Amino acid sequence: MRTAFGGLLFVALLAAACLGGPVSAWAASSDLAVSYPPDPIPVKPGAQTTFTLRVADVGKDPLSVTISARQVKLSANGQTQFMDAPDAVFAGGTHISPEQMRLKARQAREVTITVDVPAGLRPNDYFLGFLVSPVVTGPALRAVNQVGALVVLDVAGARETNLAASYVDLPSVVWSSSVSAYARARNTGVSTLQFASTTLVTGRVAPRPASIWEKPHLLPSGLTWDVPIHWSSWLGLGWYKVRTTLVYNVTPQRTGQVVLSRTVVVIYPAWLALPALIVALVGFLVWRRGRKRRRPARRRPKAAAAPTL
Amino acid sequence: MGTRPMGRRRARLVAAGVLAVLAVFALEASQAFAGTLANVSWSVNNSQTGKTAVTYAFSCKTATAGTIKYVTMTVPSGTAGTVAVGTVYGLGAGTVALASNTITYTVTSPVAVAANIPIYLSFTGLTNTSTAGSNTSTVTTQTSVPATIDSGTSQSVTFGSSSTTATVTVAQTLSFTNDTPSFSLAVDPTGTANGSSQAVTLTIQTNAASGYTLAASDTGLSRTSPAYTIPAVSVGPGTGVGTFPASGWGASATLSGSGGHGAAMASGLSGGQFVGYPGSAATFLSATGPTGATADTLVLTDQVKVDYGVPAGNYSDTITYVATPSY
Repeated sequence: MRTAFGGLLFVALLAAACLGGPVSAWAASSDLAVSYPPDPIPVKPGAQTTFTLRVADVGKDPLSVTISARQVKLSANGQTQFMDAPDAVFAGGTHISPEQMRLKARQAREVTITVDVPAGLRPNDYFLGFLVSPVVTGPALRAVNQVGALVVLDVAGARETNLAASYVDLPSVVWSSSVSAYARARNTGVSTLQFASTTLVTGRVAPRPASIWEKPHLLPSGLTWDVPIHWSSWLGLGWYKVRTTLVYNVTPQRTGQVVLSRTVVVIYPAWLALPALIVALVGFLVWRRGRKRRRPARRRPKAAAAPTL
Repeated sequence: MGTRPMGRRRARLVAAGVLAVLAVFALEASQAFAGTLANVSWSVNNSQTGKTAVTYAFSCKTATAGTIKYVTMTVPSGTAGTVAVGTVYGLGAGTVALASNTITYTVTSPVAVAANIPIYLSFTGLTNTSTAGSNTSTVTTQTSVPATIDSGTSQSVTFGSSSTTATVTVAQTLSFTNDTPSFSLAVDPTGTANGSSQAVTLTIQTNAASGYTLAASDTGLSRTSPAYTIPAVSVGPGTGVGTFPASGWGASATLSGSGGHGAAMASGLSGGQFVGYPGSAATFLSATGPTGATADTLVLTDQVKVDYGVPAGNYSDTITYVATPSY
């Protein structure tokens, strides 16, 4: 190789590609879509539940795919990460049919998942992950796009839920015409809860918007969710009271709440120039007035001299 | 002496008059207290008579400032079920009960609610009336007395047995496309050809309410015999480099989409910087809401550059992108 290229060190990411040119894309596209149940599935410990995933090849080339169960690592603000292995709690009792299949272009197929819910499972929400992975063949550099499906199992029963919250990035004085902050909700209980929030902003000058609704979110134990709070003052000045109410389910018939409240003064920095401008204007007026007073005194001698000519 | 009875009578008359005036004022005041709720709406997710596990949702806007302790919503005669609280906006925590054809939401710790505040309450677990017909709901806000603060009537909802109930369940879907599942690059360490790149276009589209996360990792751009790995330009997507090194493997990225759903690339990718693929999955892109009709498009330009310190040979790597829905 070195000889053929005049002693240059040659790095080929695939030898065959060198013959065709410096860059070569080998495989066709890999276009996948996965559909899964949108709501938590009610289950009973010791029972079995069955649901389906729908795997579609939304591209114009056929695809082979594999489907596997994965443990889901839950993070703040709803983020998820699928681990390399299945969830140990459900691993032995999860059956996927089929586990691999070939899809034609624009074809969709259903995958049946059967889960044996372990007996003695505590009332809570359990997050199951299923990873659909295309089988990619081709040269040395492979870019594999895997798609995850997230299925929530809801074991009914009394839950221990508790929510704490605090404002983040919400100072008492904001040097801007708008305020962007968060209400950080933290699940301090032992069970997953669902919360929604309403933020009301009152004061002068009229805030835009005056009420902010945040859609309901599931919040597993120990995790946080930052609810965005944003409002602005059209004048760039304002004195506001912001009040955020986070309501969460304690029991099916009873909700709990956390109320946050703070007074915030909004000042657009340009307003700081106003006193200086006023002082400058007053100074200018005083100077101008003084100048006007001085002018007639100079002209009088000239006016008096004219008739003598 | 003769004027005293007259004075008492006059005083009594004056007192009676004052009382009458006060009573009129009180009546006026109580009448002025009650307003009409604006935009009263009632919806059900299934209108078939006798259907169980139905969700009722009520929304309105307050007309009068007041401390709301109770919100009552009338429902058709025969409505039953084990009612549970769904979602609450505009009011604090409370409890729900269904009795005498009225759903009552009782606020645990009432606070003053200003006028023009939108309220939304949804309740699950209801069983529809078995009587077909058109029904409205009267929504009333009350103080702890209880005295009516505001009241209003919704549009009608028709329950029927012969009607066809269409229940459409829209699944959550995550679509992830990749226009370049495999590719090859050829480089040599001369200044004229020591770098090469390949754009990989990924699109993500979802209706998942909380958005998605796109993580990536690779096995390392490496060869065997002798073993050598072309170093990643950075440890991962959190750390970007402005200048591509003389020898390295990494990617830069651009993001496009409809916006408004919190889609954001990892900090290291900002400003056209280059990042390396980490050995374990790390977040390259995330969104906090559904994409809507326009997919998010992430164009990753994978780039390799070599110098004379890199042994010649065939190098391979598998980059794995994982798109997962948020919970």
